[in-house]
Amino acid sequence: MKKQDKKQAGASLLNLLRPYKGTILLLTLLTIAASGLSLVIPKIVSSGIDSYTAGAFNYRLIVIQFLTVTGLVGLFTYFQIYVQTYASEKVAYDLRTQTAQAISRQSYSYAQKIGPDRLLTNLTSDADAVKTFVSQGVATIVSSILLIIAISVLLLLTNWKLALLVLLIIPAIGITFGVIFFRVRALFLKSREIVDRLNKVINESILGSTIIRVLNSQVQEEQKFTQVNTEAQSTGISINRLFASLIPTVVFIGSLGSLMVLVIGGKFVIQETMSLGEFTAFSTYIGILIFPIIILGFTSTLIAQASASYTRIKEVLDEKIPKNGGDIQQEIQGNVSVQNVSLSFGEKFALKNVSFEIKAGTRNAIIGPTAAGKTQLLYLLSGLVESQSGKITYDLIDIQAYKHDSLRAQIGLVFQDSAMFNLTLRENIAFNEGVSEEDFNKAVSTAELDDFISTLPQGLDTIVSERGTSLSGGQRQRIMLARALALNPHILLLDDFTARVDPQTEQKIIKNISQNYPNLTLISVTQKINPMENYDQIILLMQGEILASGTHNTLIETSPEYVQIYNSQKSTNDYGLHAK
Amino acid sequence: MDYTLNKKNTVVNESAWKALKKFVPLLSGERTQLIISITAILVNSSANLIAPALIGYTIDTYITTKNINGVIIFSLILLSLYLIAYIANYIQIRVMGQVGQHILFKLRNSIFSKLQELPIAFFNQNKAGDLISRINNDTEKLNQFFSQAIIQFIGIVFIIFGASIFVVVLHPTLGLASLVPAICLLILTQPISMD
Repeated sequence: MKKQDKKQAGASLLNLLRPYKGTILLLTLLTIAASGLSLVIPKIVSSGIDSYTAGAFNYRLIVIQFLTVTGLVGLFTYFQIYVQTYASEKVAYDLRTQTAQAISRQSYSYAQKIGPDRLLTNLTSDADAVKTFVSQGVATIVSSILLIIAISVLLLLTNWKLALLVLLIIPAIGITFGVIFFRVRALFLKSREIVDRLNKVINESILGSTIIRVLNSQVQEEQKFTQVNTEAQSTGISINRLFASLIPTVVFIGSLGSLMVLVIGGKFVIQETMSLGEFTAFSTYIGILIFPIIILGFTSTLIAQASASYTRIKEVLDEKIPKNGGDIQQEIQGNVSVQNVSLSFGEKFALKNVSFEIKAGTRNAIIGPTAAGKTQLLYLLSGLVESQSGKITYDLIDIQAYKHDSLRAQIGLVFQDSAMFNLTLRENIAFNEGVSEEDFNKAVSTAELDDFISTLPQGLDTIVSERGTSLSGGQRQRIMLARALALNPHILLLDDFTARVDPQTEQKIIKNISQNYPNLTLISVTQKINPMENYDQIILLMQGEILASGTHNTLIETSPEYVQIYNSQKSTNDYGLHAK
Repeated sequence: MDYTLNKKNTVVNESAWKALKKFVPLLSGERTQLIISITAILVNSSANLIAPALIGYTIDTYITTKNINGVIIFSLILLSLYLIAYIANYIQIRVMGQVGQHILFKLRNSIFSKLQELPIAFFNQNKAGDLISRINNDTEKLNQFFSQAIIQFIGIVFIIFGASIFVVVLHPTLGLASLVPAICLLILTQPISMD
């Protein structure tokens, strides 16, 4: 199990680098050149010492050799840093783009499941960890390993007996890394998940900032935050504990190497099986050997961190992208047929055997109390969710046979939750590129936004604040409507549009729609019956089942439930009128 | 009221020392830990400085004179020195790691509490992503600075001075000559770190 983990961790980071083969190869070559050359320096020093003791010291030659080598090392190092910075920024950029693209292509339910908090960490901390690995890890690992191998060879060539003994420190350090690596990786995964939760608490406290102040619940929010923050702290301390045992151990084992050289090498020199020059070279090489080993110790946490982060990003990237429906891209008329559709969440039915027909160009209302399954029905009609049984057709063709984006381009959707963007009003309405000026103006006036826009000093160029907090609920709903209408849809789905728009405006809007979009098929989901008299068909939905359908006049005569809802709403409306 | 956090031109170039001074209040409650850490890093750095000198001494006095006992005695001294460095290194990483985590915890909590005190207007003028990033990521960078950079900085400065003194004491002319590149480097890197 553990071994497999190890392989996967290594393999996945290698997979990450695969598309950047060329850059990584260049980086490796530069690194090899720089670190390979730096190995020559002790050789120059050693030959200098030996020639000096032999009385044939040529200082000019030494200086030229030395300067050439160090100059080249500097040059290669410069390019190495340049390439690794470029590579790391490129990798991080690509990862962020891929993640954003993957999410925008994902199904609605997957986007809901992953949530913004996790994605935010994926796009920031996780991408950053991978970037740090590429910028500081890759070249370091390559050069460290090469240095260790090269020095091992040089040590063996200088004195193989001593070298074999001293090189025992390498497996010892390898075991230390192995033991620590997986624990650190697991802890890093955990710490990222805690950051997700921190994001969530902060995000909720910002989204709910109004209600928190109204209810005076700041203290509860702070407690929630402190609780997660405490977990973050203890995970951080656990990671630090591992780090604190890894680094000194590696340094200590490395130091033991030079100690062995002193004792055993010293003994060899005393026994005259090794020259003093060889001994010096040996000591210098050991000094160089310890350095990459310590660096690898530091880098191993980078690897663990990047590997944990990349696993998290990979989960999002590897999630299967839902099929973009079938091949049919034809224009739809608006004849909708829902046949025996059921949808359940676990044991609970949201919709049970729902069937109805909608004719093109008619105005339809689906009414029912809360939790009747109305919104789920809209999701099904827009193809955002798939039903477990039954069939939905547009113009007698199954919804799944349509190409999703072509179908959705013809269906206008106005959700209850308004999604506003921190852009101008114009950009918020003409959200999809390619909306003509004519369509735009028609949509804006149909949604009764003209008066509102004329009151704004900057008109359509007014910047909407993030999440639309600068607008009222009704204004947001009407902007959403205009956004949907600007695309000239064949079918318009309204989700509880009436809840935030007053009846007079709503009446006007419905009238505008019939005037400006005569062929539009309207399906409005609502709780209110009041302005329903004008609809061609009313479908009564309760607890996921259809109780009745027909015009207002038929339902008043045939459906006692409809009459009941109608009367109760009438009396509250009357009450509202009297109270005024 | 203007609550915008991201005002233009607020990034001022300031010297590294000035920037470091700003961190002093953050460390106010961590005096004991800081003293322990600095002591530990100084012990560790001293050991790192003394070890090569001891090796050099051993080579010069015992290996060249073929005195194996001397070599063994000094190796044992060296071993205990490495053990001391091991312990000091462990203590330093542990203690500073805790300081970093503690500062991270305090900072995150106080920014979050501050957010709770601010009026709604503040949230209309600032982006949620910006605020989250400040609480989570910016504080994390500070943690890295406190848990790793600051003490390593002290340790390295100590080693630089210590090693320079050693080099000069060992051979004044050669020592001073070998320090010339280091001084050049110091002068060269100054303008880069100021940017």
